[in-house]
Amino acid sequence: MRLWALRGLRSRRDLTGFPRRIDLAPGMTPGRPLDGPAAAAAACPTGALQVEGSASRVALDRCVHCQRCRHGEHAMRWRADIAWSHGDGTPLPRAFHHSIHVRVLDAGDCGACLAELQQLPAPQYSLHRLGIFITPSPRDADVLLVVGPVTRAMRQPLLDTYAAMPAPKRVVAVGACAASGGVFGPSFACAGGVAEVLPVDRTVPGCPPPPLAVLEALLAVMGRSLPRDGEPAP
Amino acid sequence: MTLPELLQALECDPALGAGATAGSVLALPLPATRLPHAAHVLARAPTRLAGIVCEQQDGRFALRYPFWLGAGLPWLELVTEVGAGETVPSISPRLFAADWHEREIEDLFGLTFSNHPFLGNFVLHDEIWPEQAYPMRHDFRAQDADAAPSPYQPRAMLHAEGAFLMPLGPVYGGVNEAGQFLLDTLGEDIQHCQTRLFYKYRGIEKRAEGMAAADALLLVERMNGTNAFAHALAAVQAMERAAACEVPPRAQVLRSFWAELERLRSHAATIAGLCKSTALAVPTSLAYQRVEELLRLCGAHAGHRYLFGLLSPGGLAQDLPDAAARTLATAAQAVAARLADLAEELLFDNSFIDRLEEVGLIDAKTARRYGLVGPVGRAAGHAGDLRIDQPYAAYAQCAPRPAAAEEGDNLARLRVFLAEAAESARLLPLLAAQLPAGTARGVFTPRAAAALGWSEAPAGASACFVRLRADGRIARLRLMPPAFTNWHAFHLAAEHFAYQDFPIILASFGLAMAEQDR
Amino acid sequence: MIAFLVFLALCVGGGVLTLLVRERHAAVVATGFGMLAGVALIVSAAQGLAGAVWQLPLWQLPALGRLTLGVDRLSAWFLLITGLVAVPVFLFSARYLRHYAAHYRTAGAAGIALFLLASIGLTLATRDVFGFLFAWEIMSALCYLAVNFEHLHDATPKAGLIMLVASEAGALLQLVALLLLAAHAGSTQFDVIAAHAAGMGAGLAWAIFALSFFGFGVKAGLFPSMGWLPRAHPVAPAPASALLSGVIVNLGIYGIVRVNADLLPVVMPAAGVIVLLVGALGAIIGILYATIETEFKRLLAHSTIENMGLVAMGIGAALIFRALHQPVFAAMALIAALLHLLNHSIAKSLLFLSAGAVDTATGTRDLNALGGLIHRLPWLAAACLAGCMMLAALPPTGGFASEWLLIQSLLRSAELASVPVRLAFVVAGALMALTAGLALSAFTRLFAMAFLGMPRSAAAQQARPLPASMRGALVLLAAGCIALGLLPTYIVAGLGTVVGTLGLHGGGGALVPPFYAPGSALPGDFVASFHALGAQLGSSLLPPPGLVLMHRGDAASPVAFAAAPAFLDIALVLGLLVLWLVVRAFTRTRRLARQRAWDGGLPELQPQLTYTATGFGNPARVIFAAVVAPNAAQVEEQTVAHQFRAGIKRTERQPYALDRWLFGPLLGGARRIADAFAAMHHGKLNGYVAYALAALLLALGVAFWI
Repeated sequence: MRLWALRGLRSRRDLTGFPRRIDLAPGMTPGRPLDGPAAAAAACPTGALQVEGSASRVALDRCVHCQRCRHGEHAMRWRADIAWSHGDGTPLPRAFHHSIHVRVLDAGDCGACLAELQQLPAPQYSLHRLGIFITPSPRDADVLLVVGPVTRAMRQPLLDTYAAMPAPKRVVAVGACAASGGVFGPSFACAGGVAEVLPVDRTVPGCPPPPLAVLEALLAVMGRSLPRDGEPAP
Repeated sequence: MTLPELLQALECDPALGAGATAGSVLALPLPATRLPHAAHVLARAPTRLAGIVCEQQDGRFALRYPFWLGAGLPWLELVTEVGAGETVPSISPRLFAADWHEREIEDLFGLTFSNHPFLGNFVLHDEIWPEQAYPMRHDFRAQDADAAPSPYQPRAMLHAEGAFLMPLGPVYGGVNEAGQFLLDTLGEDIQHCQTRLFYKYRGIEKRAEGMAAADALLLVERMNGTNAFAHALAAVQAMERAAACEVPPRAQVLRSFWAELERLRSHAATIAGLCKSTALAVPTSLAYQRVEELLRLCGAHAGHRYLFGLLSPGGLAQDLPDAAARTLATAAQAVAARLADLAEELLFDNSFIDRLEEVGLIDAKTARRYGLVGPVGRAAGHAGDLRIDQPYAAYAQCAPRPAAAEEGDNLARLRVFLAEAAESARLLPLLAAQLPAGTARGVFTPRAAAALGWSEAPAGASACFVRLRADGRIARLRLMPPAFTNWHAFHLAAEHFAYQDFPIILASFGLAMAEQDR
Repeated sequence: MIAFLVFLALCVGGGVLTLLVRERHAAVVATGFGMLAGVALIVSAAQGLAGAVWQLPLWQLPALGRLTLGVDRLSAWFLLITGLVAVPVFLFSARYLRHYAAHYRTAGAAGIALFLLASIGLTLATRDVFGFLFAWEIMSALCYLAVNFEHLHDATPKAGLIMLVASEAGALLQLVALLLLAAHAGSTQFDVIAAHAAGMGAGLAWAIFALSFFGFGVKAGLFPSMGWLPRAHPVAPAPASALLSGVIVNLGIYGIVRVNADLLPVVMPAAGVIVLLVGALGAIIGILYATIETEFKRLLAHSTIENMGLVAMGIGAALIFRALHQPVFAAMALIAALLHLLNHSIAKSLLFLSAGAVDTATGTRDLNALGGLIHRLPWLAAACLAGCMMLAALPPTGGFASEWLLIQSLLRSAELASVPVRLAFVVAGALMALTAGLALSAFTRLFAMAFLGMPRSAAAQQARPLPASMRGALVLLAAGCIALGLLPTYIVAGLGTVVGTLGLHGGGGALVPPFYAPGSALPGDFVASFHALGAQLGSSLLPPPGLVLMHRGDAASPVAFAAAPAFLDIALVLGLLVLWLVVRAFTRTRRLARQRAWDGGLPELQPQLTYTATGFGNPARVIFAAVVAPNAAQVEEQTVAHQFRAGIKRTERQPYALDRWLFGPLLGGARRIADAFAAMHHGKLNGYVAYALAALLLALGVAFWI
């Protein structure tokens, strides 16, 4: 019989400073393209880069972090940050300000977004300290967090899960696939994003979005105030 | 069994094999009627079926059965062809590992395999997809899938007084992949487990058709995002072999380097998952802490935590400076050492060991019959590692030491995962030390040809068949990942154990459903 | 006396008339006479309990002594139970028997039931040895006929025969015990025997105890001779099962109490310990089988074994306390046992009739094939729920009161001096606690699997509504279950007089006083000392007094047991009401959204994806495998299309543990002995002559030696 609690207390502590401040430790986020020459758009496989005059504008929802526009002759400026989420949905009522329960639903994810969600309870992020809990039952859930492009077989389970949740409830689409279909796009097998099936309150783009980006979106859904975003990376 | 003997048993010209060595593919064309006999011979020889490749060529279907042989021997590829309305003789009664591959081809191409007792309702669930939709056929249109499906009819396998099906999924647990297990049970004990996957079928192979090779690689990476590099490596090598393209030596060593780093991270995540399944909170946290450290190392040095976008046809999209490689190797080794410390403590914790030992058993005979690969196969006494048997990238000069166990239980699998993680950590500095000078970016000039590529992914042998068109776009991409092989046998490990053992057995396999479903 | 004679006349007359009228009227005639006879019996029993005991000497038989009829308080109690069960059972059978009309003569069943009722009444009201034995044998034979009614089924005659054989084996032991008693007293009259009880030798007393306990134990379904119950119950028609479990097993208990507490009060504590432990064993084994059984009636039969075990535990405790000179505690334990007997009879006949109703509505009694009946048969479900709660000992039903009393009386063992006896009480108490827990699980399962969830077969989906008479009988019994829970105080007071006549303590009134009644003779400060227990709650509002049992012997602990079941139930109702109001107050402004049950994202939840009765009981089976399914269980697994695993066929046969360990070898031995004797029949004449000679020599030798 081991004294695991003691072992846990003895181990190194490296909790992120988020959400008191933006934390951008190396490797924590891949960053995102900011701006660059119009020529860079040609290399984009998903049409996330759109030419506007002499510059390329980024439609972040479609960006799959292929990094083609990061290197080479038409390299764009990338910015290391995490506050990527956006959405029109109102936050949950005040009662949910300090705690929510989240049902995670895989609707055809490649595994990377789910792996990043698995990291949320890790000591570096410690999801629970923020009052956020992942629950198995949609009956207890306030937020439905969907990853993946919504495959044909997961379309009905997704709708059923949403219906099984009590109001008020919010839907958060996590990852490029859930935001826009990503590399899988709309096809005979995929709906091409959660918004095709359900009203989405908040979208976290990224392929995959780093754990802090997901945390940021969940805090936004809870109606918590957030720190200002980080500085552009060189 | 030597190669000429094997060819003789297959009733082929033994001279065909002259000059064939490890890393080459020996194609054996034969009529479809001789397939069962060939399968019978190969099932008894030390060969492994990687998968079945089906290609529609106008009205006809070409079928390839790639087998890999032991060290020093080449790949064997049975090649046959059937017309549109013809049935293919099933080889699964002789070579059971082909079971699911044949079912998949039946669902996606509408080819019928004679003598196979279960066809249909596999990739395309009957309650979701209409009867006559075959998406991989060239004439398939998206609206074909809109016809009415059949009613939902789960089928009980256990016929006993009071037996019932305990459904688990597709939406279950906390952060889980979407898949379903129908547990045939009389209560408490699992008598039979029906693994029902393909809830996440995204039609990757279909979508890749007509894509540029480099874009198709992005798709392959996202087949299983947690093992993206290894699978993309198999695909990129198939493209390069098809295009007869030379890869710079620096890129070859770096590919092995990144593949081993990914293996270390993937195995660490599997071990963390195993801790989580036994509900030991502190070890779970400590293991995930290690995983996060490795993810950040990857993110800092490759620009992406899961190594997406790193491979490009002909080489690597991005070089890693020598000094950075050494720093990275040292840092990764330090993380691996902390993981090993944790593992040592875990292996002395009785409450943890009791949940693993003699639970989730797969015996050696089953492992051979199902052709199990990767840590799951190696933990059940079924050796086989593409890095050793069919070396690629830099593994010829930097071979890993194989890990093995005989027991085939959860604990054996954990030990193999730990040993392989340690071995990857050992290889990293060796690879960093022998980085050749030069560029890591290659030149890729496509041509119309087809080839097989392979790699040893963290979960086991991954093979990929690519046919390129003259313009460099994909004509056919066939992914044969290890999860497809290993999920086939998962149900046997769960049988006769109690409900509460199920999540642990599931975690000990460390398999991704995304990889199976594609 | 008149009421009892009216009862006999109604039974016999009704029985004869039933056999004479046309077939289609027979059931109605029998029901009318049966219900009237039941009422007459209740009146007669009430008179007896109120003190109108009588004795009626009948004929003097040559060599067998005088036949005497009579009802004392003990008989009256059992007659009361019989009457209370008989009325609804006859009401129920009017329509129930109809579905046998195609294959059987229903008049036969109805007539037999009336004669059976008469024989039960006689068994309880004979006051001499031979009258008792005659009535007993008639009752056994009629019981066999009632069980064997559906004789065209293969299983029925075999089960009936097993019951008859077991019953006769028990009767043989009883016969010897009663004859020994009669020989000792020199009379066959019960009151003479009771008067001569003192001064009997220890050996003879032990023999009489053992013979009577294990002999009557067969009828009562006590360990180890309870195997006939789960066989006979499922094959009998529902009303017969209800009589069997509700009345006839009680006769075994009656015999045990009559002989060991009245005719020859046991003075050996060890004998009481045997009764206690045998009861505990029977209780735990019965409930274990009930927890895993999937046939409605067989489950109930196992539960009968459990409850008879509990009653025997109470009796055992009473015998021990009496032998160790604690008559007050002995009275308490016996009161608890007899109260539990009444509760069990009402609940069990209710549940057996429910099983019959389920059978009528769906055509099956297999719990694995039922489910969801609450939607189509809400009245049946409500009645059955009352019965299940009673047997699971949940308030507000009577089962709670009697099991609580039983446990309380076992706890009194703390005041005994003998360590081995206290140890036996500890073991028995632990087993009883386990039994109570498992009973809750078993009856939750019974109700849930039959009435809740989804129908698991077409039969359950298309359940037909029940006729009003069946519903009436069920509601009557269910109301009884609730009434017994609300008003046990009055019943216990009545029981106090019953045990008082067995000489267990100074008098009924002292043990169960009218505590809060106006003009109570108890001193005010004494009454006030119970206020801390909450016993006076609501005493000014409602008539039922709070305290149930107490004694005044010991100043240190004047109260043996205090509880206010009626107030408890009222508090329960009020609490639920308050809870409902609070929840409503908080959720009044919220919108109620109804969604289908969460099924993990399945396209459709189907019955085969939900728990079966087997599955529900399996954890208990796995945990208690050593008792209920040792490794001798025969499992046969067959894999279809071997490597593709198209299906697994699994058949499992589990012979009862006791049959395998005890009766199997016994029967095997008996058969071998019989075979050995059969070998003597070789057909050779000189051999037979030699046998004759040898027998003659043996007889002469024995004669000379004596």
